[in-house]
Amino acid sequence: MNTPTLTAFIIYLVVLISIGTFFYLRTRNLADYILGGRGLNPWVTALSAGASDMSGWLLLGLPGALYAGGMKNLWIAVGLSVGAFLNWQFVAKRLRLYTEYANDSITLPDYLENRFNDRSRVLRVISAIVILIFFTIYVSSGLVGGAILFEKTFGLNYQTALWVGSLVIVVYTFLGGFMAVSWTDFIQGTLMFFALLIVPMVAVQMVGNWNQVTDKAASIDPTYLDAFSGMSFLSIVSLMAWGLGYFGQPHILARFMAIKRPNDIPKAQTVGMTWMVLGLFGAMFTGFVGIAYFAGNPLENSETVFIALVQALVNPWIGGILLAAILSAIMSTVDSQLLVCSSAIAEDFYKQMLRKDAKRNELVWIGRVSVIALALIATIVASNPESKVLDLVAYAWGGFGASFGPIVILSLFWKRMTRNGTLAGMVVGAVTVIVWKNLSGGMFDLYEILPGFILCSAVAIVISLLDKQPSQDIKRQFDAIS
Amino acid sequence: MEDASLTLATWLWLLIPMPLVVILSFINLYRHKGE
Repeated sequence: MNTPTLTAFIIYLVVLISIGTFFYLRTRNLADYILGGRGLNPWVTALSAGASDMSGWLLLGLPGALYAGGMKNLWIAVGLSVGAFLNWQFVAKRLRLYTEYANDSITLPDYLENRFNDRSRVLRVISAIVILIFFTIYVSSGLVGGAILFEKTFGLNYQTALWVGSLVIVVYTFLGGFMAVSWTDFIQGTLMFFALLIVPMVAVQMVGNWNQVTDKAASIDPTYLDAFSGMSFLSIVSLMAWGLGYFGQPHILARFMAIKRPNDIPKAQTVGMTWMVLGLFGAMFTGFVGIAYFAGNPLENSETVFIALVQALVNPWIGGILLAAILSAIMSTVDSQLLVCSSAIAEDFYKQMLRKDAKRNELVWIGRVSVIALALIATIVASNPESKVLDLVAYAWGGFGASFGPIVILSLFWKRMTRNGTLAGMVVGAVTVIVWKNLSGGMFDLYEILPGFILCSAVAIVISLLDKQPSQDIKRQFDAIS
Repeated sequence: MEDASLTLATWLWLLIPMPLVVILSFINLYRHKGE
């Protein structure tokens, strides 16, 4: 890495940490920290939902998939756009209203417990377990992204890059404290947006023009240009099923809960969808142009295509900022995921099950130790040099989508749903994803989110119908939202 | 010929549904204007 790039890299990170610290110092309590006291404006809501959703995946995973497989991966982007749209259109406002009405719930486990008036705590604990399992996998995808960045920019080998990257991220989470603030995500979102538009455009200029890009890609493999070659109906459905995941992602749903005025949601939706669709286009074209640009010298790891284009094309000062943006996007996502997990361990397990009268300070320490333990597990999961950001994200995304997606939709729109139905659906969704992921061949090559989502919905509906009617209190609360 | 039609179909899938959801979001915003 040359001096201007390194300087820009460091300056960008320092500025970001300063902004995070500034907002951290203004944080007064847990609700402030988790939801910003439900005070987000629509622009910040939209872009922070986008940045915490996409982060390293959009800059490394998706361009890598297009670079390796060509246009057949466009189905992921189509499915995601439709899923995100439906989530904004139907879930966002109702969830925002319901979570405030249901005892001012600030997290997904909180909401489920209050929605079904579950005094047994079992819904909270089971949903916290699901969060821990799949966020650990999600975190490991971020660590793989960090490792790829350090490997490529500092010339380290994968294992060293992984441990250095993980150490940087854990230290950042500790020293900076709770910087997973939506405002820093907003800055990441803006920068990612411009990076994803500028990099492919400059790359096309360098190759010549768009026709030369497609000709070059077709000369390597004509199937790069079409989305149908080697794809069955089921494999297309399987890729589009990514869109189902949106309804169950705790970190994205949290942004909906945090918006200041429910009536601001259409504005946030418009900003969010425009950002997302342009970002997806940018990411896809980055990968696709990379096929032509690196035709003579193919990349060893397809997920480095964005980094390699930045290094090859952009002025070193801007290059440093863009590379820092990748790292900080990954860090802000991993940071917030680690913190959600640590609060799940401290608040939902330790306090609820082991020591009901635990003091604040004790819980903070339990949370900190959990961050280290989880980061260690995630680093070990990521230590396979063949790890791909996209594969790990797909697993975590599928896990959340199948365990929480149908539950969130049904709980918002179906009055007859019961706590036992919710519990059974959630467990069946999570188990289906884990089992399906570990089997292969035939129908097991289908993306696990699809069977998981279907089985979770079916079990939740059947068990709810077999169960006794929800109490009058719960029904009254439901009617109040309608 | 078949390759060309598949490429065309690819472009249609790329250029219709994704911009469409953005347009629908703008329509939704317009419908809720002033709330």
